[in-house]
Amino acid sequence: MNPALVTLILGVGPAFAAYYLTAIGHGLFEKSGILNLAIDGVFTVSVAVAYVIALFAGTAIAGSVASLIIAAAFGVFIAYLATKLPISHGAIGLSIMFVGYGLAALIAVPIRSQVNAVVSYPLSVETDVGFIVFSIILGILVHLMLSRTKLGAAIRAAGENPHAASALGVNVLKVRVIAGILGYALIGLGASFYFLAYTPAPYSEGMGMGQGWIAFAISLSAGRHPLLTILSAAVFAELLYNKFVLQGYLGLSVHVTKMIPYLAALVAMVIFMVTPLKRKLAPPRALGKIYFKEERTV
Amino acid sequence: MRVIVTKRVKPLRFGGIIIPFLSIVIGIFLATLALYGLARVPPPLVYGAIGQSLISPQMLQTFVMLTILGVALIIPFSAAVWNIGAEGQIIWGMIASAFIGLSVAVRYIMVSQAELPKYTNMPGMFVLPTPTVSGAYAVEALTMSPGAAIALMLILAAISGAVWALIAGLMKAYLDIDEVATTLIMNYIAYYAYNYIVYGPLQGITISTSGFGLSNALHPELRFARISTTTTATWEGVGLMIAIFAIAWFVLRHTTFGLRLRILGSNPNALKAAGINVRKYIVLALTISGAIAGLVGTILFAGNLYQLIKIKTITTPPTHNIGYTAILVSWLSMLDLRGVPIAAYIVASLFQAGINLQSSLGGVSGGSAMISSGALTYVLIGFVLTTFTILRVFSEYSIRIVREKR
Repeated sequence: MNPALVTLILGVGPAFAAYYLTAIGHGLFEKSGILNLAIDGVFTVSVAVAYVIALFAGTAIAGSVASLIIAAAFGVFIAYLATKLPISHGAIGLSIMFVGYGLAALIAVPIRSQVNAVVSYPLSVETDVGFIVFSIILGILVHLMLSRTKLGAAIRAAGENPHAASALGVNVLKVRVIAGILGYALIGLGASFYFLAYTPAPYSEGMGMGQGWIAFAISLSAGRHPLLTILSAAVFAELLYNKFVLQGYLGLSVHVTKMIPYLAALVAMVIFMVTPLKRKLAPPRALGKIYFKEERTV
Repeated sequence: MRVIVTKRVKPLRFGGIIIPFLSIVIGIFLATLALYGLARVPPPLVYGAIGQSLISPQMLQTFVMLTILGVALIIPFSAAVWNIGAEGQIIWGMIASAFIGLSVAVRYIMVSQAELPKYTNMPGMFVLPTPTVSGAYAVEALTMSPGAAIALMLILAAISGAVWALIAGLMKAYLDIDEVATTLIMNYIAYYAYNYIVYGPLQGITISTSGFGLSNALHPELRFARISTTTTATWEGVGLMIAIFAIAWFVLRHTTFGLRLRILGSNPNALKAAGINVRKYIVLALTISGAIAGLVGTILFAGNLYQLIKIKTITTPPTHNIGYTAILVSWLSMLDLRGVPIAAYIVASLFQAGINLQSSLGGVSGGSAMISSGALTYVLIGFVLTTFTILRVFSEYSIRIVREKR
């Protein structure tokens, strides 16, 4: 096969891994019933953490691990607050988004202005394939966890009807916190790949901002289904990665190309609500609803 | 140890005042900690910047826009319809205003350089500073009275914002698709549509604008009048703010429509039981909100920017994310209209504080001077908003931590 074509197709590996992992993390978390509007802010912080830690440790893997841990910590915080307290999910999500945007700059910008280096993953056709295989394996594991295990059933139950789930003996708080940890760990991992493998340029403020929303749109266009997300992530990653090529071949404006993931998400949301796909792909019924169980005081 | 949350019989007394106030104090404190801990920004600088911004005339324009947007968002919020899409609605308002101001209300006369002096001092003529691609100079001449043009700008901006919000409203009302996700996604669609338009239909005709993602500049007679030279706030903006506030006050408090909106927020089943078309109210709440947000687009375009400028990265739109910040204003006001101007004042100050703090960071070592004012604003607003979101629970619930007996 033409080597240029191979690069064109497989070069998307890091971008695919970044968007795909972030999108399935988002889907997993929302399956538990918590509206996840903090995704873009936490993504941005994770990018900053990945940059700083990879730089100090001298290895990109350390950056990914740190980014994963920080993101998971955010996940616990959001899941706990949104489940334990009668708080609007939208409010807590957007607040954390702002905090994330701000913290990212505080973490990375002072260091960037003193050190002019970047540690990243080595990139070649082999690693491109590696990223694709690794992320798809994680995606299959998430799918099996959600569809085949007790924990997966509990997560889905907490998302569909937390009160009924609770009556059947599911500890909604615990399940949602676990979903928060797993979901946000994936988001953190995706964010670290975004910076350390997809765009390993010297850090500049605001890196990663907006990418979380793209992953959000990718996840929604696939109805939060981990396996269907492979398709939407591959299409959109390829669109974004090769946007200039597409512009040349198809005469498509670069602005329109960038708009496609969001348009697709809107169209998909309509399709999933009005067609028989609703049974599988409609949003969890309790998504974003405040879960409040009146407790008798002692 | 267990955390027990119970609903209060009555909301906390004075909760509407104590809770926002406490959140601001605690939020600013936490922000200061983060600024010092991560970027070595000395706390006195932060407090100084905030203090300075409280009395700064530069924040007036932000205050005006935030008050209008706060009102725009309270209308759907009190119906429990969450419009996160003010950004996109403002953007469409800007595009609509630019369409009227740059192509309907003016025509372009091409003149050679030799004829130029004749036009520079002619009343009603505005010469674009650089020549067009063909080498001739373009002169903007009004085709209608400035008053009519401004009125048209406002009307079309309101319609554009309303239509953009209507899409999400219809999807929510008839297909039960969550409006939070749709309005948010539509913001990004609006950003790219805006970029498409500044590189396409509304791109400038001069050599410094055409193809650079810039539109022509607005004719000076169509620009809003500044209140004074020290502020970017305009008389038209302030007038609109007062008018919108008064109308919203009347509608929300003294009409059946307003009452039904509020019932939709607290008990939609009661409304359905009374035989009222709930869908209509969901659609109307979003549409009205979008129309008002569209007007802010005109205030921004004809009052501040005078030109459409491309969005370089989608995180730095010409709106400075004010559509998101306005959500904070409505929440801080506890969905009470009287609280909107107060909340807008505080948030506008925090907005300005980021700018003030940035300019006072020059002497701080360790590279924190490179942090942008936008990021500093995010830190301040983010921590205040997070604290408020959590503390707000106390107004209607009591939280106790109980040690379990072994």
